[in-house]
Amino acid sequence: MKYSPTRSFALSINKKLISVALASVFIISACGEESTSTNGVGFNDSQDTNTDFDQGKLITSIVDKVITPTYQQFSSLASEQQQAISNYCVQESALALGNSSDTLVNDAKVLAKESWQTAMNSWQQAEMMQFSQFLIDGGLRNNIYSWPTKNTCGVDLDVTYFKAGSVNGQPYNIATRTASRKSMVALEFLLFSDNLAHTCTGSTVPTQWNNQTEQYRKVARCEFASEVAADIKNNAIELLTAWQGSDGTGGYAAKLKSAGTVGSDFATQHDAVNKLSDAIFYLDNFTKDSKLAKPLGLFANECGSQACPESVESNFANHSITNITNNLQALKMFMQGSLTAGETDALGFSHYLTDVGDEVTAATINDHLALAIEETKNYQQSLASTLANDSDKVLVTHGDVKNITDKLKSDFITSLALELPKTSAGDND
Amino acid sequence: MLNNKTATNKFTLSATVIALSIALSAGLIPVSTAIAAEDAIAKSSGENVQTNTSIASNIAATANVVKKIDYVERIQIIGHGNKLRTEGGSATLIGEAELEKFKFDDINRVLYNVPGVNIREEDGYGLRPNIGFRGATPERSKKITVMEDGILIGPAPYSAPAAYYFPMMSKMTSLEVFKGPAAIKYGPNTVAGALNMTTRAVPDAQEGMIDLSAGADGYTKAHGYYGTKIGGLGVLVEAINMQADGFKELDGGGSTIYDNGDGNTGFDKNDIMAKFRYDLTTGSVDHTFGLKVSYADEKSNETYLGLTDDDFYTNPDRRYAASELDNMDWQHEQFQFTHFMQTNNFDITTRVYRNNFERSWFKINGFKGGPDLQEILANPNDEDQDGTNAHYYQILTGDANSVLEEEKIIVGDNAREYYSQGIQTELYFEQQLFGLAHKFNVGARFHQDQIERNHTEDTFDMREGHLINDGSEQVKTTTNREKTDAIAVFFKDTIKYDALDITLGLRGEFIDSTYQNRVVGEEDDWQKKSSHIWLPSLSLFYTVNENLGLLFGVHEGFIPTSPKEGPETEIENSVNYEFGGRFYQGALQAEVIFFYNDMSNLKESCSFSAASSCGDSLDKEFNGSEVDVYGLEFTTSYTAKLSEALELPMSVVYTYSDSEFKNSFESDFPMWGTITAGDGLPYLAEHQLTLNLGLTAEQWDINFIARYVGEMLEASGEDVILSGEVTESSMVVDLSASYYLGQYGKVYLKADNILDSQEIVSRRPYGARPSKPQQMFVGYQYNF
Repeated sequence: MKYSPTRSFALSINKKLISVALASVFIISACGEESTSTNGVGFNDSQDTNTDFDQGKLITSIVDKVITPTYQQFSSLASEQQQAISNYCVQESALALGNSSDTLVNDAKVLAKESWQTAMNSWQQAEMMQFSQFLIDGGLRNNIYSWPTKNTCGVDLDVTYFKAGSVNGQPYNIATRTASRKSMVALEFLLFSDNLAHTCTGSTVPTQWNNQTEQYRKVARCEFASEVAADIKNNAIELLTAWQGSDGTGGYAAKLKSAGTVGSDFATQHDAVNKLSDAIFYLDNFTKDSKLAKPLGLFANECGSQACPESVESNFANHSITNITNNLQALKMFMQGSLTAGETDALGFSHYLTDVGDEVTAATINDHLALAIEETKNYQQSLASTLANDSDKVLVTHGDVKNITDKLKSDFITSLALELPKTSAGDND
Repeated sequence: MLNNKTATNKFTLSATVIALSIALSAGLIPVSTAIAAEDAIAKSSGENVQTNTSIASNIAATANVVKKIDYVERIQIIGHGNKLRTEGGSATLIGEAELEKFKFDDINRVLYNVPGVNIREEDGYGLRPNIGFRGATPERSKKITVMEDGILIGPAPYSAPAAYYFPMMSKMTSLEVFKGPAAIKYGPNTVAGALNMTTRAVPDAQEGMIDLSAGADGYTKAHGYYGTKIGGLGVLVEAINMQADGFKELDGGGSTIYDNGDGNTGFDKNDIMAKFRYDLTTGSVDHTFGLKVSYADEKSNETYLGLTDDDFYTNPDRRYAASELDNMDWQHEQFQFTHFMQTNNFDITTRVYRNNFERSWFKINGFKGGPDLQEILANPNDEDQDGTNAHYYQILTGDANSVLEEEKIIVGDNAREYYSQGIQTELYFEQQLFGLAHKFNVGARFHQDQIERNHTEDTFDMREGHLINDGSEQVKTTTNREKTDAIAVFFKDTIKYDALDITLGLRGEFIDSTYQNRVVGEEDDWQKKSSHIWLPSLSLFYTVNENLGLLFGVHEGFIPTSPKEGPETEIENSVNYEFGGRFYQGALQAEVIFFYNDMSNLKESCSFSAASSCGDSLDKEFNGSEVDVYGLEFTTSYTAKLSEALELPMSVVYTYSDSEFKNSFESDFPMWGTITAGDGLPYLAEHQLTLNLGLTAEQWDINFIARYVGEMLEASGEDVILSGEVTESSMVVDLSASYYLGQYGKVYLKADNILDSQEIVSRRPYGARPSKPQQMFVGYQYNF
């Protein structure tokens, strides 16, 4: 096609114009976005505190001086527990063959029970160190401690399955069994319940169990307890590996400590601090509500809406109030940033609160904590017996814990610009 | 994104801006007059135009033939012409004849005929559709721009884009879908595209219609319109009532205590619309004035509660007792005034609109304590929970009573009031500039919308299979307001350069938003935000010959953040590419388009409709960083003429889609979880295929439509409840047949889902949900 010179000129201008137009459109867009915002003082959606406080150091302190030693301690105690229960079972089996004595069996059983109590003390501190995507979602926590789910009949059944070596035609494998049939909850029943009859009331029962001799049943239970303790030991190792990483760097602890850096799972260090804060709200949902308010009848329970000894956390070992002491002890560790008070270089939530100018809240929480710990250590009877005989005392303990959680839910999160965990938002109080 | 935290009162968008918009509209009139005058000069200088070297005189004469359009063409955007469509960008029109074939009340069923559409079905009737384009999350259609007659129709498209109101499909006479750069004209959401539905135009002469139908599950529809012209004034009145008892079966027969249960799981919808049109000609200028007022309401006993997979396979239509009080109740009012003006050289359309929407959405939110509903229904026999889930499941079904405090059932009323109003104007003119033909289209819109949330929760006990209020006080959960003032402008120029049509586009959005907590004592919880963005587009259409054309497009997409979101949530931003071709040869038409959306930040927000596990993240938005979505869209249609009186129309619509997250990250968003780079988006089927086959004679026609939708991920990553779950692939066949009785109208028979196949279409909000089972309808339609 041939154009006149004028038309060709016009077309060449057009080509340039089109290029210029295209270029300008894209240049405009390149600098084409801007956003500004201004907030009310009450608008604190995912905001941070405004001081120079070293939140990275806080995370490192709580990770290295509180959580890691607690998990390590539990792992080592789980191992000792497994050994003690195994020793006890050796005596029980020997007695069945006439090669031991009641004294030797009883001594070994006392040591086994003590090992459970020591391990439980440590675990109750670890209970306050749960992080959803790390410990809870994979079932690791339930494998170690399935409470509030308990199922003594399930344990009775598994004692017989383990004894038979198979379940549903498959070889028995403790690792694949449901958490409530193993874990520290099952161990408590196996070690501390003296009633050798099975506890099943439904359609599935260990049919031959009650016909077996007393010693047969003791040996069967202790053998299963030994297997459960070995499983807990394995899960404790798995927990420590997941926390520290197989090479000591790739675990969840490292993720928390690298918060705010490129490639980290946490966009900011404050997000990681919020994760730590989420964990301590265990004290609200579980310690205050499930371990105290529910047995007190403040929430409906198995007995209706009245004080209910059956509703406590630890029915067989009578360890409920000690568990609460240990939950409180863990919060104290979070507050001080270390296992024991006054460690050098330790930074905890108390320091953080003080830094943002709210030493009042730090002091109030610490005072309430000290009082509650003292109060719970002061129980002369088990929580179940106290509920039956002096429920007002339990009510006072509930009030002591509530004083702490009220502060956590209000001044603590406000001063530190943290968000409440989802489960604490719909307040049960 | 910058967060200067500066006080911003840049845009006090109020009367001043309305005045500005009107001024803009009016201001264009002298411009056009000037253009017209230049035309006249050009005409008078005759052939000498080409020899004049001044640039100004390069303005060539416009065609001597004056072509005028009807203003209806400014409402329904894509032309119907019987030739190769040369507009750039992917655009699909489903016209009245197509819609008439199946008379679908459910927009989902209509949209399966459009390629590149991804849908998550929910209630089976399409009452609250979830529509996305090219991988955009379908959730409540909040990522697409939804319009009725060219006006934003979502309850609050900027402040709260989730489309809880959706116009009644039965009254629409056409439907248009714009993707790619064609979408840049319509905002605010431009990452995916726009959907425009058009209502019936005021007729030129007296006409009317009555359509009555009845079907399974108590379905009835009464639909009619009457229009006439009195002098220069045209009038149209159209009304529809549609109701059904619902295909779901409520355990225990429903509640008899609170009036809104009684076993009915259906709905009752009304829509009445009046339109007026007045045409006026002064000299060479034609004016058309249009007024539309409408009222619509819906009462539906819908729920967010689905089933466990096992229960689904036993009876997909079952509904648990815990949902017996669930009820949606809304009212919608609409007012729209249009002025259309055209001269020989330009036309300008100005619209003023206001939509009010109010709803009460009373539905089970979950248990007071205990596991999440989604968790209970996903693992009803979870051994790890050792009976915990099973027990809560029994309460849901009414087989067990609530005993403990945590076993009480929370029913929330998410009551909301919305409005959306504005003025928009657009100008079309064609001009020869520098020897090339330009088609200009420019426009501006000033828009305001607002949502007020007044959410409450009530507590119920499950007692002997029914919900009984526990007597505790109602709790207020969310009481806030989000409000947006926005100015949007766009500019489009289509330049014809030999066989190439080049369309340049630019869209600007200037958004001022405020969030205010309305709880007493929380007055300091507020945020004001100002943002603006410029979005360019380029599309090319190359006409190879009269039958074949190639198209290419690129545009920048954007979705604003909600007024409540803090500056840490970034806008959703993408660059979208498409490339393809169109073929047209009379009875045979085809289009193939490859698309690639490069999103720099995918953004999602949490709502109850996504999952109960949103908890206090309700309405919170999440950043998903970089995501690529790509795929292929193919459509073809052919009408075979079997004899003089017998035609066999057929068509195929196929979409292939794939997507991947580019980064690994952990998210609390329940559809994501722990994402590993390479994971795909949820609710995006890899393959979708729709086949249409018909047989049309003079007195009768029969049509089949078969759709296949491949399986879709319920969640992208790990560690969320629905990780690893997929919806099942499904094949649904619908049939319609009509017999014409000459002057006495026609009778028709419809069968939706003739194979009666029901698969799990999604496990959200809580539990497995079915598609609609087989339903037969008969109807009679009389036109006059």
